[in-house]
Amino acid sequence: MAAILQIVDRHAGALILELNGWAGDSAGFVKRGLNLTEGQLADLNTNPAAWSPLSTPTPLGRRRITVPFILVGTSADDLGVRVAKLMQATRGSWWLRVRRHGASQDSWLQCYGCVPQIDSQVTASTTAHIAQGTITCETEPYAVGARVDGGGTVGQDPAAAAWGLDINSVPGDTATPLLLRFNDPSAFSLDGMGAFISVRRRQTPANLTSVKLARQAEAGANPVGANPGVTIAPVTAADFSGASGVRATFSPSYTALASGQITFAAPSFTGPDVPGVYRLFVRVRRNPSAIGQVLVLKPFINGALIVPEEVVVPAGGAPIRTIDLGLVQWPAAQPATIAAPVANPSGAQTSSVLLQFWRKSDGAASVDFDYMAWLPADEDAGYLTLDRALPSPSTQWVVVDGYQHLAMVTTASPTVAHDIIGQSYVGQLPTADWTGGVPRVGPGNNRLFVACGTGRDTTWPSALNLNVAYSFWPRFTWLR
Amino acid sequence: MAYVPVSPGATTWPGIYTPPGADEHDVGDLYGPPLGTPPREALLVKFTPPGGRGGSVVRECPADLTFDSTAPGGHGSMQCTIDWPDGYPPPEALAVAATAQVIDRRHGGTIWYGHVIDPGYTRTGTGASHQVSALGYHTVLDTEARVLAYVDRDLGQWLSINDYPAGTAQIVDDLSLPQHPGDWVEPTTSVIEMTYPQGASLDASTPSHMTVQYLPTKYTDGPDIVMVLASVQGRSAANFAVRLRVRNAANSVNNVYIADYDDLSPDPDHFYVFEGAGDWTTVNARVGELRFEYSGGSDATASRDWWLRWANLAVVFQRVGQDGANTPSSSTYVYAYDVVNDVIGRLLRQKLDIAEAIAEPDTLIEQAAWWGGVTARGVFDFIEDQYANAYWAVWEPRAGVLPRFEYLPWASHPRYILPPGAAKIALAGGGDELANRAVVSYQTSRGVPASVTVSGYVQELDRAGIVRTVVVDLTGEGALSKSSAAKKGLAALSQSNVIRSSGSATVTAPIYDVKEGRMVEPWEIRAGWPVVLADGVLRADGGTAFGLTGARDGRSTFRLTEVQYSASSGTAELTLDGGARNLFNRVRHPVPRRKKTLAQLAREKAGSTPRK
Repeated sequence: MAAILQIVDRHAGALILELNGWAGDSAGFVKRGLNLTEGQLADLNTNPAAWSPLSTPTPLGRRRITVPFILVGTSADDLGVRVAKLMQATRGSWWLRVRRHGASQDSWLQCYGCVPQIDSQVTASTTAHIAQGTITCETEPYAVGARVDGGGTVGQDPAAAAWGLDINSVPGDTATPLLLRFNDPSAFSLDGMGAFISVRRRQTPANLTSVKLARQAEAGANPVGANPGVTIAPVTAADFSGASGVRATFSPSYTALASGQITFAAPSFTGPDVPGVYRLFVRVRRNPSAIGQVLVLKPFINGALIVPEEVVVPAGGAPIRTIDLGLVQWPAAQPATIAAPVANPSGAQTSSVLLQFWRKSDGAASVDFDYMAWLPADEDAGYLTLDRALPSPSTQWVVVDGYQHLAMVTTASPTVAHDIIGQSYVGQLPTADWTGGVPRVGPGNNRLFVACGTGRDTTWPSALNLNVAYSFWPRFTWLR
Repeated sequence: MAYVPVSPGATTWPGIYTPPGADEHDVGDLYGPPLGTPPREALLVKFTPPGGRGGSVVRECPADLTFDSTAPGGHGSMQCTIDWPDGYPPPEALAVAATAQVIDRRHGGTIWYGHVIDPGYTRTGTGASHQVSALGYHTVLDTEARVLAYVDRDLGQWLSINDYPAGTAQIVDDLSLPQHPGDWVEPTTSVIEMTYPQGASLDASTPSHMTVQYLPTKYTDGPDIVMVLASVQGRSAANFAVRLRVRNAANSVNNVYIADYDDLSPDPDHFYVFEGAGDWTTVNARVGELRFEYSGGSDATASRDWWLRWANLAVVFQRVGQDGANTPSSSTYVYAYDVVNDVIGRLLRQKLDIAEAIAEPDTLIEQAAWWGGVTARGVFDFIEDQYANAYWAVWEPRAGVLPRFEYLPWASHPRYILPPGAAKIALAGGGDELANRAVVSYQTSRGVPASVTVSGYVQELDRAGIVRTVVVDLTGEGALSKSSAAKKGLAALSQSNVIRSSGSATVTAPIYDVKEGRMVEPWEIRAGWPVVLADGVLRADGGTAFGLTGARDGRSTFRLTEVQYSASSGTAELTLDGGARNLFNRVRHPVPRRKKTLAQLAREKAGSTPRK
C-alpha cells in the first residue's frame, strides 16, 4: 500500500487535498507512489519530507516539517484553483494525515499556518500544468494516532475495589493527555461535588489497589492531655467504609483546643511500586454542633508533624468530608531510591499515621473518622469541583480537557456532536472547575485514580460509584 | 509499566533476525517519584475570573514565569506573559482581581496564590499578549484600615477647655508623682496641672470648675473608651471636688470618680475606673473629662493657690477577639496578642481564613493609638517593632475558601536542608559591625535628656569574650519611659545586627524538606522556616528525620525570609536573614514602616534599596 500524505480538515477528518495523488486521477498532486522509497515517506520529489527533532526536550516544544511537492493540474485554470486551495488550506492551523508505505495505522500532525513556496514554470506545454514547491511549517511536537475511548465505573469504598480505573496497552511512545468525560446522573444530581484525580504510570500501576492504599480508623489510642474530655470508641455508620469507624466524643466539659488522637496503621502496600509521593486524605464526619465549628487536624509520623501547618476544617459545609492533609512520601523521610546500580529496585515501607485533632469550641459534640487514604500524587494530579448539581444530569456531561487543563459542561459526549454550555442570566448553571494537572497516560499500562468526596459542601456517599469515560490520542515522537 | 512493543511479525528482509538467546523485554522505567523535573514539565499557571464564575485560562509554565514568597507576607508577587490570540477580546480570567495561581501539576498542589493587579494587555501588529502581574493576598492587610486605639498615654491628647478663665490647666514637668501601683509603666515626668490662683472668685451657685478633655474618640469611628487610669495629687484643703467623667457621643455624662480635694495630700490617689458595674454605666463612651470643681456652699475667693496634678494618665479602649466579639478589658496590661487578636477580629476576619493557629506574643504594649487611621499591615509592623519573633503570612486556601492568614512564631526547627551541590551560597560578612551593647539616649520629657544601657547576647562576640557598644539615638521619638526606651533600643540594636548578617542561596536542584519528609523541587520552597546549609556544618545533635532539633551555630542555620523563583533559569533565590548571628534570637524582615527605623536609615545611608 502506498504511503498516505494528505491535508485533512481535522484529526481523523475529511480529505481536503491529496498530497500523494495517483496517476490518472482527475487532478491533484503528481503521483509519487512509485518513487517512494520502500517503507518510507521519502522522495516526494527529489528530497524527502523531513520532520525536525524536538526543538526542546519537553512536551512544550515545536518542530518543523518540510514537504516538497509538485502540483499538476488538468488545465491551466485547474492548476490555479489547486494552488489557491493549497494556499487557503495552509493559511491557518491545519492537519496533515500521514501513513507510511505498508503501515496500517494513520497519524495526524497538527501544523501551523505557513505560505508554501511555489515556483511556477511557464511552459508552452498544453498537457503539463505543473507547479513545484515546498511546504515548510511549524508543527506540534507530536503526531497523534487514532482516538482511543474507554471507561468504567469507579467505586468509592476503599474496602471494595475503589478509585482505580486501568488504562492499559496505551500505544504511542510518550505520555498523552486524557480527555475525561463524566455522565453520571446520580453523581451529578448531588448539590455539587469534588474529586481528586491522579494517575500512576510507572511500574505496575494495577498493584495500587484501594485496599492497599487505605486504612480504617482504629480506636486504640488515648486522648492527649490531662483531662481533655475526649473519649474514643468504635462506631457503626452505614455510610462508612466497611460500615464502621471511630467516634471521638467530646464531653460537655470539653475545653476548646484540648486534643484527642487516633492512629491509622501503615497500609499493607509493599514492593517496588511503593516509593512515591502520595496525597494523604482522611474521611471525617462532623456530627451536629461540630459541623458549625472549626475542627483542627494534625497528622504525625514518628512524633513529628508531617505538614507545615495544622489543617483547619472551617465551620459549615458537608457533614462528611474527605480532607486533604497534604503530601507524604513512602518511604517517609528517607531517600526514595538507591542510586547505585543494585540488582533489584528498592521497595519501601509504608508508615502509620497518628492523627491529632481538636475543636476550637467548648462543649459536647462528636466527630467520626472513617478511613485514611494515600493516593498517588507525583505524576499528574488535580481536583475537579462542581459547585452545584447539573440541571439535566442525564444528558449533560462534565468534561475535563487535558489539553488545556480546564473543565466544562457539555450537552453530549464531546466525542460526538455537542455544545459547551455557557453561563446564562437565567438559571443557576454549575461552574465546573479543574485545578491541577490533568492526568496523562503513558505508553503501556496506567491506572487512573478518581477519589470523590473532596468537595466542601456536599457529602459523597461511599456507596455511590462514579461513571468515568475517557479518550486519548496516542502521541508519537517518531512520525510513522 | 513500560511500553509493550507490538510484534513486528516475521520480517520480510531475509537474514535479519533476533539472535538466539537474546530475549527482548519491555522498556524499563523509573523507580520512585520523579525528581529533578524541569519547571516546564510541572508548573501550570491558572487564572480564574473574579468571583470564580466563567472560563479559566490555564497555561503550561510560561517561559518568563517568576514568583516569590516572603516572611512576613506569604505569597508575594507573580509575573508571567500569557500569549493570547490576536483579535480576541481580553478574557475575563485575565481581568484585574482575577484569581491567579501557580500549580504543580504533579500533585495538584498550589505553589503560589494571589490575584491579578495588572493584566498587562499588549497588542502589536502581529498579535496580543498579557504581561500579567499578580500579588498575593497580603494586600488585604494594606487595604483594610480604620482608626484603631488600644491604650493612649499621650498627655498631648488632653485638651484644656479653659472654662474657668482665672485658672490654668497645662502640661508641666514634675518628678514628684510616683508610679501607679496598678500600672506596669513607670511614670514619665509630664503631668497635667490645674490651678486656681490666689484671689480667684469661686462661684457656688454654678460651681466654678476647670476641665481637661480627652477628645480623639469623639469625632472618629474608633473604639470606645472602656477604662481610664490616673494618679491625682493636690494641696490639702476643703471645698473642692475632683472628678473624672465620661460622655457618650450624645453628650450624656456619667460622673465616675469623685474625690475630695483634701484626700489628695500628701500622697496622691491612684485610681482606675472602667465601664461596667460599680464604675460607669454609659456605654459607647467617647469623651473623658478631668474636672477640678469648687464644692463650697457659698461664693468665696481663693485664699491661696489651689492646685491639682494628674499623672500616669492612661486611656484604654474597647478591644475585640478574633471572632469580632467584644472582650472585656479593665486594665492597662495590653499585650501584643490583644492587638493582634483585635486587628484580626476587626479587619481580617471577613477577608481571610483566620482559623489557623495565631501566635500570642505577650509583650506589653505601652502606647498604641492611631487616630489618623492605620492599615492592618501598619499594626503588624508596629507589633514587629515590639516583638520580632513571629511573622504573619497569607497563603492559599486549604480546606476553606478564603486565603489563609497565619501569625506564627519563627520555628526553631529547620525545614529545608540544602545539600552540597544543590545551591550556590553567598553569605554576607558584617562581623566587624556586630554589637552586643547599646547606649540608648532618649527624652524623659520635653527636652530632658536621659539614657539607658542595654545589652544582648551575640554568640560570636560572646565566644570571643568581646563587648562592643553602639549608640542608639531615640531622642527623635518624643518623651519615653525608661522601660520603653530600653525595649526600643534592644529592638533597634537587634535589627541593625540582623541586617548586617545576611546571605543568599541559589537553589538549582531538589533539596530535602524535613517537614514533609521528601525531596522538593526549587519552586516548592517557601519562606518562613529555618534552612540548614549542609555545605557548612552538618548537625549531629539529634532530632528525627522529620524534625531536626538543636541550637543554631551561626554558620549553617538561617531563617528563610524570602524565596524568588524563576522558571527561565529553574532556580530559587533564597534570602537568608539571621541565624545565630542575630541578637537575642530575634529576626527582622525589612518591611515598610510608618516611621523610619534606625536600621532603615542605616541601610539608606549605606546606599542599599529597601525592599518593597
